[in-house]
Amino acid sequence: MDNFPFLEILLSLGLAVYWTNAFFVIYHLTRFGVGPKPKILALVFFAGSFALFGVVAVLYSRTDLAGAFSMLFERIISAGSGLLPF
Amino acid sequence: MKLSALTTSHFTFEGKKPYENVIVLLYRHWFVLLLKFITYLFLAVLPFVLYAPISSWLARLGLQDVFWFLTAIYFLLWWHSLFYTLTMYLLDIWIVTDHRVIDSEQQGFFSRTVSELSLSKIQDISVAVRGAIPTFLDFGTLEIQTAAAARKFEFKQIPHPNEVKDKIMRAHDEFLRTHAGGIEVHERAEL
Repeated sequence: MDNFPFLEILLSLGLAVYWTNAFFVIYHLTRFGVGPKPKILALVFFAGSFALFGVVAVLYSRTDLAGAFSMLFERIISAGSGLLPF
Repeated sequence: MKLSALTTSHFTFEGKKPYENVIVLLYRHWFVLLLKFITYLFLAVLPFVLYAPISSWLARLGLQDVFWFLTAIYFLLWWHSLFYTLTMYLLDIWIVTDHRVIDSEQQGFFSRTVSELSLSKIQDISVAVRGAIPTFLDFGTLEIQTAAAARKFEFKQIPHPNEVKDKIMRAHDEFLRTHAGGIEVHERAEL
């Protein structure tokens, strides 16, 4: 159970919700939008979503999330409220 | 059925008749969107404002990478939320053609109400501009009363409502002049 990939499953679910929502936005703009404005906006949205997704993927690969969280929890338990920034 | 995304016309919409010409396409006034944009701007700078006081604490614990990763996820949500707002704004439209008036309101994803009214059914049009900002920026609500009296057509927070009222009245007069007896000349020609 210790090795169960909770974080990976959570991120995969988030990813599925993210791209489903992106599809809904693009679908509505291109299907029901009148004139060129909604179509241009759909393109901008897709490009931005793709770029932001790339940034998140790069940052995820550089971040040891599981290690950082377990370290933080251990410190919170050992140091109590003295660990907080304020 | 035409795919509106693939057509070059600036005013093509689902159900547009080939002989129909769009007179005006209306969105809500930009001021309505501006207030929302200010909120999104504030939300965009929030992580950076938050970072300043906690940066030394993050550095001490080695959590800077985690902070920026979570910030990037926050911006993903921000981006989607911003475009959701823009989508709802762009899909809330009113179209006046030389044959009818179309009111298309989007209440959320997959929730849409489209109503239409023939120009011949228009009885009277009223304009309401309430408040200082709508008066300065010239936006307000235009109401069309139909002969049926059951339901009013409302163009909410549209720019230059008085100009739109005049255009609709002109289109109404022109429609009555060219459609004597309520007969659609284009459809009669096709028969």
